[in-house]
Amino acid sequence: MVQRPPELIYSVDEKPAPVPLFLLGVQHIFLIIISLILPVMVVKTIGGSDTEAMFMVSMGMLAAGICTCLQAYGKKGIGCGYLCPSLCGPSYISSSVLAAQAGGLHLLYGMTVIAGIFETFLSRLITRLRFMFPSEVTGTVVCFVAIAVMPIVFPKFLGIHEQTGVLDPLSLGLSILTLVLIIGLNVYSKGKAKLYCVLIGMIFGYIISFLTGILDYSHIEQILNAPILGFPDASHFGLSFDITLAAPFLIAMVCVTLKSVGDITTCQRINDLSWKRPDMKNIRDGIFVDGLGDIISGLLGTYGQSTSSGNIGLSIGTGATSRYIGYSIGAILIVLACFPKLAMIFVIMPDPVMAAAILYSMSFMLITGLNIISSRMMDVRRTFVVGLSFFMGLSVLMPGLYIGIPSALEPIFSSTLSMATLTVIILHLVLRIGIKETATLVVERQSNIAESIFYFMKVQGGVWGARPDVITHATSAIHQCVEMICMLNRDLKEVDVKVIFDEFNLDADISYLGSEIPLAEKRPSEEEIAEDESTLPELAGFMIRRLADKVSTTQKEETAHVLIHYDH
Amino acid sequence: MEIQSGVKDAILVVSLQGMLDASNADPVEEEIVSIDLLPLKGVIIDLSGLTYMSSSGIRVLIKIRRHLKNANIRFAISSLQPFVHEILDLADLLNSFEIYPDIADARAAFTT
Repeated sequence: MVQRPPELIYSVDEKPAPVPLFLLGVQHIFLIIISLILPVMVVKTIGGSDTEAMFMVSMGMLAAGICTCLQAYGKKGIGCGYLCPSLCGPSYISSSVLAAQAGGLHLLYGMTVIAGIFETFLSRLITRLRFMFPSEVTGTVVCFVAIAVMPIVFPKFLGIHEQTGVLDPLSLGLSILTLVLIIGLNVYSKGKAKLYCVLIGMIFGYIISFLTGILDYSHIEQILNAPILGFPDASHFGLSFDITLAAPFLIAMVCVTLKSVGDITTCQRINDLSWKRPDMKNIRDGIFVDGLGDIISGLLGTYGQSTSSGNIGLSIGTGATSRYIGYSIGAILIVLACFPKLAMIFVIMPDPVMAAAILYSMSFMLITGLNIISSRMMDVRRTFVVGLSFFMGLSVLMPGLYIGIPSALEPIFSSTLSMATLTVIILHLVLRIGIKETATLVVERQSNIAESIFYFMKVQGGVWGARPDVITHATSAIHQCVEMICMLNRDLKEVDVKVIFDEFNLDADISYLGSEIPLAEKRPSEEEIAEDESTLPELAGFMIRRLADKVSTTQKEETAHVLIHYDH
Repeated sequence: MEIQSGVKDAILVVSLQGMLDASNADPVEEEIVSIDLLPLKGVIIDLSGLTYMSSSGIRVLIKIRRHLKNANIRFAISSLQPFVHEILDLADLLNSFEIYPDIADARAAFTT
C-alpha cells in the first residue's frame, strides 16, 4: 500500500487549488523552456533560418505539452501517472545534428519518429528486463542524470563567456544571489514561500538582471516584436529516412530510455515511503509515452523528447509532486506554442538565473540517486559496478579524452550520462555471472553459532543486493532457530541452513536430524522466563514467529525442517 | 562479548559490547549477580555496544531485573541500538524495563 511521505505538500494524487496549480505549472515551465535551446542549436549548426528555429521551438513546446499530459494520465497503459514532465532530450543532440547535416531537418524529423517507434516496442519488453535494473543501476543512472547537466550549467553559473572563457563577476553574483534566495526560502520558510521558492527566486533574478543591465531593452523588444498568435506553417512539415543514421538514433534512444527508467523510478520513490523496488509495469507505461513523444515530435516537426530530470528534482525540492501539475504544465506549454509573445518571456531568461534553478533541483536528484544505491546491501561486485561506472562517467568530463571516437559512437562518448549508464549495465550483467539464488551453511554446534550465521547472511545479503531490514530479521530468526534446535537436541552435531533469494522472496530452510520443534504462539510470562530455564525454547519460538513473515515446521523421515519466509 | 563495569556515585554501570546469546548470557548474569549490592543505589546496563540479543539475552535481563528488585536496587538499561530496541518490542517487553536514551539520562533519573 502506498505510504504518503509527510514532507510532501501536494502528493501525486492531490489536486492543488486553481491558483497554486497554475503557479506551480509556471514554475516548471522555466526549466522546460531551457531545453528549447537544443533545437535552436541544431538549426544554427546547419545554417537554418530564424523561422525554422522558431517553428521547431513552437512545435517543441507543443510536443512537450502533449507528452507531459500523457505521462500524468497514467491509465490504460498510457503514462506513468506521475508529475514527470517532458522536454527536448539532451541525449538526442549528437544524432540530431548528424541527421540535420546529412539530409536537412526532414531527415531529423523522420529519424526521430523511427527512434520513437523503437522505444514504444522496447517499452513492451521492459518488464522482462527487471534483472537489468537493480538499485545500483537505477541509482547510478539517477546520479548521472544530475552530473551530466553540470558541464552545461556550471559555466553559466560561474558567468564564464562561451568564446573568451572570461568570468563575468556580475553574472556570478546574480547566480549566487538567486541560488541563495531559493535555498533560503526552501530551508527557512514555510508554506507558500517554500512551495514557490524557485519561482520567487527566478522573478528576483529577472528583476536584478534588469537593474544590472544583464537584461536590457533589446530583450523587451524581442517580446514586443514576437507575434501574439502563431500557428504552425505547414511548409515545415515533412519526413525522410536514412538507414545509415539508425545506429546513432537507436543508441541515443537506449540512453533516453535508461534515463527515463531512472526518472520514473525517482517519481515512484518520492511519492511512496514504503517504496521497495521499481514498479516495472509503471515504468513500461512511462517509456511507452516517451516513445510516443518522439513519434509526435517527429510528426510535428521538432526535436526528440525525454523525461525531465530537472523538473522532477524541482518537484522534490518544493514538495509538490501532484500529477495535476503535469496537466497544468501541459496546458501552459500548448498555449505558449500558439502565443510566441508569451513564450518569449521565458526564452529571454538570463543564463545565471537558469543555472541557479537547475543547480538547486539537480542537488535533490543527486541525493535521490545515492539513496537508491544505498537502499540495498552492497558487496564487492556491486561496489565495482557503482565505483567503476562513476569513474567512466566522469571520464567524459576530461577535455579531449575521447576526441578520436567514431561519430556513430559519439552519443555515448560525448555524454557523461550515456557513458555511465552503459558502463553500469554492462558491468552489472558481467559481474552477476556466478551469483546463485541459493546459498547453504552448515552450522556446527561447537562453533560460534551467532558469528557464523551473521557473517553468512551479511555476505549473502551483499551478493544478492537484498534489503538490509529483511536480512537483519532473517538473520535473527535463523539464529534463534538454530540456538533453540541446539538447546532441545543436546546430541546434535550440526544444523543445515539453506537460504533461497529472489527479488520478491527470501526463504530459509533450517534442517537437522531430529523431531520437529514447537513454535509457541504465546510468550511465556516474565516470572516463568525468570524461574524456569525450560521456557527458553518457548520464548525463542515466539520470537521466531514475531520476526518472520511466515514460519512452519515439517518432518521428512529422520530430518526435521523449519521453514521461514519473508516477502522481500 | 566484552563486559566493562564501573561504579560512580553508588551507581554501577555495566557496558556490553558485541552480541548477547546462549554462548555468553551466563557470564553476563554472573557479573551482576556476584556483585556486592550493599553500597549501590542503582545499576545501569549500557547497551550502546550491543548489536544483537537472542532470547537467551532477554532471559538474562529479566533475571537481573528480578535479582535487583529483590535487593531493592533500581535497574535501568540505556542506549539501545535500533534492532535491540525492536527485539524487546517484538518480545512485548519494552514497558517491563526502565529504558533511557543514554547513561547520563539514566543517572539523572536515579538521582532525582
